Amino acid sequence: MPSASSTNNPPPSGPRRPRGVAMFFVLGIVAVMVPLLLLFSMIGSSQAKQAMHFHDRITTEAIAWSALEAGIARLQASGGADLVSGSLSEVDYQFSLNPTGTGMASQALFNVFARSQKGPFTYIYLTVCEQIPRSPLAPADPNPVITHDFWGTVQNYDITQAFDCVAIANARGADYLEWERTVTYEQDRTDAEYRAALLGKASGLPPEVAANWSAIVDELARQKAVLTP
Amino acid sequence: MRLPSRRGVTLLEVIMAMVILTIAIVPMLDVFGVTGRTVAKSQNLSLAVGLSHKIAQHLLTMPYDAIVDKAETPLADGADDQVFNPLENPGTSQTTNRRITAAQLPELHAFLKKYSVRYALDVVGDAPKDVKIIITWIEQGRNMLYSLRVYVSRR
Amino acid sequence: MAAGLLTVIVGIVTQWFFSQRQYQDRITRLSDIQENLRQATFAMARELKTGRQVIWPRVNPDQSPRTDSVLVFKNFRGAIVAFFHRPAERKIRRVVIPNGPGMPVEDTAPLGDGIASLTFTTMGPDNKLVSLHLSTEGVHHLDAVRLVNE
Repeated sequence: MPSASSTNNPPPSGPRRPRGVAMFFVLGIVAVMVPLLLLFSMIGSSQAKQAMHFHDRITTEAIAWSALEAGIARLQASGGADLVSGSLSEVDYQFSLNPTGTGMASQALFNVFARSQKGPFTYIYLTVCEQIPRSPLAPADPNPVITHDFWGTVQNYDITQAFDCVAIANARGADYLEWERTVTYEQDRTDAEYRAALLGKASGLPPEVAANWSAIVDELARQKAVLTP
Repeated sequence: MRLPSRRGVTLLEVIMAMVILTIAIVPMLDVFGVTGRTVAKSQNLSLAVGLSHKIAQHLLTMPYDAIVDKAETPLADGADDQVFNPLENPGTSQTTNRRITAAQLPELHAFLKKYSVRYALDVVGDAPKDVKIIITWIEQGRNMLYSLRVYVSRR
Repeated sequence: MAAGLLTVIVGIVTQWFFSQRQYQDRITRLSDIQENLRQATFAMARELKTGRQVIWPRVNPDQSPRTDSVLVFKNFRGAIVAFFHRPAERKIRRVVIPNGPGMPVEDTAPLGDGIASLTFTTMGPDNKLVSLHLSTEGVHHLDAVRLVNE
């Protein structure tokens, strides 16, 4: 495009040269490079963000588990019902020992809730602990503690609130009822019946699983729940 | 014939363009290098997170008294530690155990060897044990470290 | 001369542009692979952790580990669940086999996508430690899950 000066002066002799061609290319190149640069920096930063998200999710699981271990250690050393918090690997955790009664062998029963949170990620474990009284013959030994039925969730409950603890216990209870139904199903069948029922499912299996299904059924039958006197 | 004065201006523009481009491209090229390094870094961070979580899970199967300090141990060509070596076994006896060696798991071996990935344990206290799992690696000539602290109680 | 220099510059920049596009594709691909490995690991670990028994594979009689591309276990609810790798699709899939009446149901969505190889290795005297090894195009991810229920 002619500039203001060229309109005021007569054009030079010979072929007319486009003006500002180089600057046009520079601007064009910059116009291409800037979005590319932005895209690259976005890839780098989003990748770093995703890696940190994974780190936070896995770490909350590991720290929630550690909180549970801390709760169990407290019961072994005769710790009572309490809510304790702390932090590990820069991740906050809490555990609470909620007494639920006394068992048939005079053992104290607890629901242990353990929670950790980092950023938007939460992990909560619930387990049942049985704290067995110390033997009078070895009063210095820690209390034996039996733990069972570990259950986990990534939902953001507040374990300091009784209402949320009840909601966690109810959610676990629904899963636990389903577990009991499968145990009853196994107990009510003979080995042969259970094996036949499982082998009958082979036609609905993906080929990868069907290839070893017979050996898998052998193992399932070996581990089948049985009624104990 | 006298050259029109505009010719010189165009050459000047081109020279200016080259200077501008050189000034612009050189730092930009480094930005692309930074992006590549960020992706590699995130890859190594994710790997370290997985490795430390793996060790934390192994601690739950180890005898409580066997959970003690451990000096830096390489994953590639490392001694048999039941955590990373042997890593896999497609067969039915110890003779088919696969360790992280150039002969048995070449791709994984090269990957871990490239970054010189190692792990160590630092154990403090008792009931529960406070275990610091330390993963170290070398990235672009720099020593990198990731650590995860976990409790393990006696069962 | 100006036109020649300009042509050289344009040539260099064009070549640079295309090489950066290739590099960008590689970085994006690597980035996607990493995220796939991470998501698949977390998805599997969550259900496996509170599982009750590993059915398949089993540690060898001499207590050495045992590896397979299929993992069958009983989850917290007692259902029989299989995670398996389908190499042709490069996917990790999950199928639930009811431990009671009913036929197996495979999840519509895969647990992991773009995964070239996956191995499950069972370890430990009680067969309850599952070591995971995922890889795609030279990127590896190692993890493990200890089942905590009986």
